[in-house]
Amino acid sequence: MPLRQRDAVLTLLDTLSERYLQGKARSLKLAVITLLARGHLLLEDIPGLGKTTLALALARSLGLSFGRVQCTSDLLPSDITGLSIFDREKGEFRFVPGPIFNNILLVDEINRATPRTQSALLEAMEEKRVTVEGTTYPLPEPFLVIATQNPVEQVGTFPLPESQLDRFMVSTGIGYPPAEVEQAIIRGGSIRDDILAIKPQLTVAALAEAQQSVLNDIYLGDKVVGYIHALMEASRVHPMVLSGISTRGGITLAEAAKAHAYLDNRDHVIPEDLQAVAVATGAHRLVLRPEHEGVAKKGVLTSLLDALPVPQV
Amino acid sequence: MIALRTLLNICVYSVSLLGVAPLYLYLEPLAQIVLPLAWGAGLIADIRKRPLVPPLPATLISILVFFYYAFQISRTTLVEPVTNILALLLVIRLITAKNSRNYLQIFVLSLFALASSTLLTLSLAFFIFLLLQVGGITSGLLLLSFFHRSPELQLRPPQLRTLLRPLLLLPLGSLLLMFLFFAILPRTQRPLWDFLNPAGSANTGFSERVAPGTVSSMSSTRRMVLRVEGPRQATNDLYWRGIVLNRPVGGSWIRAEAPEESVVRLQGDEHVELTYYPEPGASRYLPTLDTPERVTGFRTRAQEDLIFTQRGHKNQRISYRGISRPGAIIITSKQPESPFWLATGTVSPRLRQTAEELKNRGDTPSERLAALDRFFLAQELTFSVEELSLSDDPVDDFLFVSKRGYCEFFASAYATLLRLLDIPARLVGGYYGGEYNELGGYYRINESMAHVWVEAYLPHGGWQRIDPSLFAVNAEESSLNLRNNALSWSRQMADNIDYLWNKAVITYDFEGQITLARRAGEQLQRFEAKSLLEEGGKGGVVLALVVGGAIFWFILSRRRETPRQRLLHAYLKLLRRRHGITIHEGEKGLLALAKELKDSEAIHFAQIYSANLYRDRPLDAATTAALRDSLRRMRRHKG
Repeated sequence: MPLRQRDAVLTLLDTLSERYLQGKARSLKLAVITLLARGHLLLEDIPGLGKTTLALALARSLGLSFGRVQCTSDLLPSDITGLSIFDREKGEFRFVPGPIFNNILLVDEINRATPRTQSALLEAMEEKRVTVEGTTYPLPEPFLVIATQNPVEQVGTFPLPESQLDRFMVSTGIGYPPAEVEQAIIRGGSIRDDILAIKPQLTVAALAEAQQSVLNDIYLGDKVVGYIHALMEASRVHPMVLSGISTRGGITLAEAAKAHAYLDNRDHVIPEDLQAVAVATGAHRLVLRPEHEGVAKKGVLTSLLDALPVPQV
Repeated sequence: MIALRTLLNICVYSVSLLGVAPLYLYLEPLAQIVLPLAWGAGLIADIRKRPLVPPLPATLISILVFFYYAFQISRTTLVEPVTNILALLLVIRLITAKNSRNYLQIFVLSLFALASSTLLTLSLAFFIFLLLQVGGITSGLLLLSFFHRSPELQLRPPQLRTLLRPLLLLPLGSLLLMFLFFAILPRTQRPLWDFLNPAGSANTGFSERVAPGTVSSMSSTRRMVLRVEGPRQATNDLYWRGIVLNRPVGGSWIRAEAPEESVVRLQGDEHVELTYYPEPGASRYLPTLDTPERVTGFRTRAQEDLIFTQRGHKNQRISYRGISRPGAIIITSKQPESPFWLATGTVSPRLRQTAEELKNRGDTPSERLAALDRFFLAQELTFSVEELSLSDDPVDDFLFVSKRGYCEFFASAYATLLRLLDIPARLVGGYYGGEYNELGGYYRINESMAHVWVEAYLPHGGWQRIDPSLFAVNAEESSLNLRNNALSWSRQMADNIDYLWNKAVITYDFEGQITLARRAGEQLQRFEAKSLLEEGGKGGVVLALVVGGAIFWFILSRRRETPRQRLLHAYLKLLRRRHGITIHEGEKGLLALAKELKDSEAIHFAQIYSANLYRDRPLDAATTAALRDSLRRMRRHKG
């Protein structure tokens, strides 16, 4: 049985990575995986590498609504969720939805917001609904938060605690594009206008169908579940790690692996799927011991993965 | 890519080297010079692919060589010309162009050359050469069968790897057959060309005549004469009885026909059972631990005074078993007859006077014996093998003038005085001491341990051993006492290997075969596990258990593999063969690996395999067939 909408998703991916987002194929693929698996994406990189462009291109090509929040320390939760204001004409309070009521929400420099605002946002992400003054408003479907944070600048920031990081399915950098691609980008100038002109390539209904397909059509076998669990166990007993991958982390790993299998046109998950998404999905969930804080989490997870035998019989 | 011819040449040159090397020392100078030159020249010519000598001249030279040496063959010189012919024919074959027939000839000639070396020497090195040569020849023959079909064949690494397994297995098979044939093929009782093994050079140690005072210094070799397998004995019991000398003639003692008397029994310690492996060629007297009760062996003969000799040829390697009671007194049927046992050689007046004085000090033989011991101690004699005085009357000179001498002086002086005191006495020659090899559990006795001591007959006692050399003032520190020094570990090890080789191979003969056959027959008749163990078949049982266990383990390990594992391992093995990479189970994702290798067939296999595995489906017949099919295609279309 062919996977529903898989070809359409793949065409979208190819078009974006070839025409608009050169040199970002990896992060784009991870973003699509996040979207398909109904998760959220955290981009950790220095400014100016195209985080916003990526988010915008994705939103445009999917024909989704796009909202953006620029975080500062005086940002209030209501600036994101929206608030009730009194309508004089009607003589009642009217709810004015904030930017969160968009399909794709770009939260720029999330670590500049105060913890209070951060937690309000993250709660909304998790619950997919917003409660303001006793009324609950559901968020639109599909809903994807792309948060960015600058790992270099630390002054005046409120780094996301590990418990909050756990809510992001994927955490990845973008990295500098290859030299010739970067030169071409310089030559061509900003493509923001091109992106704004992108025609939607996939309807909302088709995307929902693709998400359903990832959820229902991809088989996750016992061997791979065992493999994921072994990775979680290994992360918990690693000498450098204080706390390893949580159960929610495990679920997320499995979902991301499923989405990866979907993109690979396979109706079942194989260990390679997990290997492909494990670092992006798992590394930010590790809490290292204080004495090893300087060690790269991605390196730790890669070493765990390398040491783990792949179930093959 | 490697040419088949190159491999074959490697085999041929190593095999010919192995064949000729053990012969080399025995060849004539001409062959000794030509052989290495031709070997090197042939090798270079083969590397350059330009043969040195055209076939016709080669044939002519071969015929010339053959006739030159053939005319030298006679009844007494047979082996040398033949070995030279073999070596030179081999030389000619090495320097000419080689077709498959010539390769075969070289193999045959090399094998013959190695075989002929056994006519000249019987060392352990032969075994090693044989093992290597058998390996070389079997591999060579296998390569030759390919070479015969297409001489210019080039082998790719995967093909080479395919060839490698039979190349290793075939020699193993031939070796097993070799061991089987070694155990069962009949062999002669005598060496075929024993005139090639002349009797050892003049004996410097043990001799059949004791003649002190004829040399000024005794140099003795450390040539090994005997190995004795058995438990360790007390050091002062290590007298190895070889010969009894009973008649003094002039200044020396010889062995003569003694008046009839038969041994009734031995009175002494408990039995000790030992196995003896004498080196061939030394003497026909077979040493035994003093005092021997009986000796069993195919070619031994006992004499009345507990002396054993070898029947048949002296140069043959034999072994025998003996039961001894260390230090026992020999009780005989009657008292020794006086005229024979009291006869002395030339006796100086001084000696006779001493004897008279000693006689007056006691009436009974034991009292006189004690007096004689005191006299010997009082003389302050020195044990020495150097700076000996030459004399016509060595006993007198030794006792009263020079006062130095080795065991023969002590023993002959002591025995002469005993006889002058009316006590029957005789000399016993043999060895004293022994280096015990802890690894092998045997004594090693060499020529430098040769020794002579005295046996005196005391009434109501019997023949009793007395070692007068112990009366020397320096008995403690003389060479007598250094005879029990242990060998260094490495020398023990080397000696042990030589010992095992002699024991297991060289002395293994008709007798060994009979024993083997009889034991096998007995065990077949009453097959009980207990009797098997008791009957000394321990080694066999252990071996059978080990082999059986190995087979069982092999089968079990095969069976322990699930069908899936078997498929996976076959696949990984094929990847190794196709791409030269070694991947173990669980090391890498299968599909990722196949894609990385850009191997479409491998990708196909990995897809089917992982789809089945990771969807938790059982390995059904259709999938297995598809996977096997894929493996077969991978096998057929190499890399």
